[in-house]
Amino acid sequence: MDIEVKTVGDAKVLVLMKRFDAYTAGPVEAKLTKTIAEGARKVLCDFSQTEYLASAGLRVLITATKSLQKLGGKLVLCAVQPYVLEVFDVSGLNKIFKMYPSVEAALEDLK
Amino acid sequence: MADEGWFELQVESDTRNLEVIGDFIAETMKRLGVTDEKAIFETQLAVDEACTNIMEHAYSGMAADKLTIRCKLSRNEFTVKLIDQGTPFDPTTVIPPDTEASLEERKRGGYGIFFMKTMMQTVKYAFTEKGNELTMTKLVH
Repeated sequence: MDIEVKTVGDAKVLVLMKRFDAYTAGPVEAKLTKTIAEGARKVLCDFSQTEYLASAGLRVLITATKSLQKLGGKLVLCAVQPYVLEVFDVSGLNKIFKMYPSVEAALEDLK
Repeated sequence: MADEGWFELQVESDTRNLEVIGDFIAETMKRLGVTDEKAIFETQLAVDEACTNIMEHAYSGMAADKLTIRCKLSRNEFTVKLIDQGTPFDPTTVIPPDTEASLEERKRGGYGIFFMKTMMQTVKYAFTEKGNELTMTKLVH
């Protein structure tokens, strides 16, 4: 499974797939872990392609956010679609993850 | 279609099939006249979480095992029944996560069953001669 990682300045942008579920969570977690291990401290998860999010995806985001906070870094999200946003809202994680409407707005904050 | 009014899908216990299951739920609901996209999404999420639990826990990742998904609409109630022959496990007994907790206090697990209970009107588990039977219902318009 190929997950695109773009470099913008000192930030890494992960473009997530259509479905972020128990099948795709493993590869995303591996990619995030590798990106952080290689030194990334500013990570943006781009949800613009993501139509579906399950709890397996939430687990990956919680773990990566905790890891980055310990290292003085941060993980933010952008372009979260309405139904995906409902998953964050219901779990109360909308209060924990910082979300931006676009890649540009998120990168501006990460500067 | 299986018995009268029931639509049925049987898949191997592999998370690769979660998308097939989600599509089956959406297509069946639409075929039965459900137009509320939010209700369809919420049902897909609950079924996806329940199936993930079965695949990862009841069957411990053994892909050769079979999982059966049956659903039907009676008046305005959509019923989904999941049947597996894995290790008996009652998901309704799992303690839900604290949705007000800070990041530090957040645990990795528990959200799947929480979504099942939040998105559906009822979630019932039974261990029968067929194996584990999880029945969930959703009111639709």
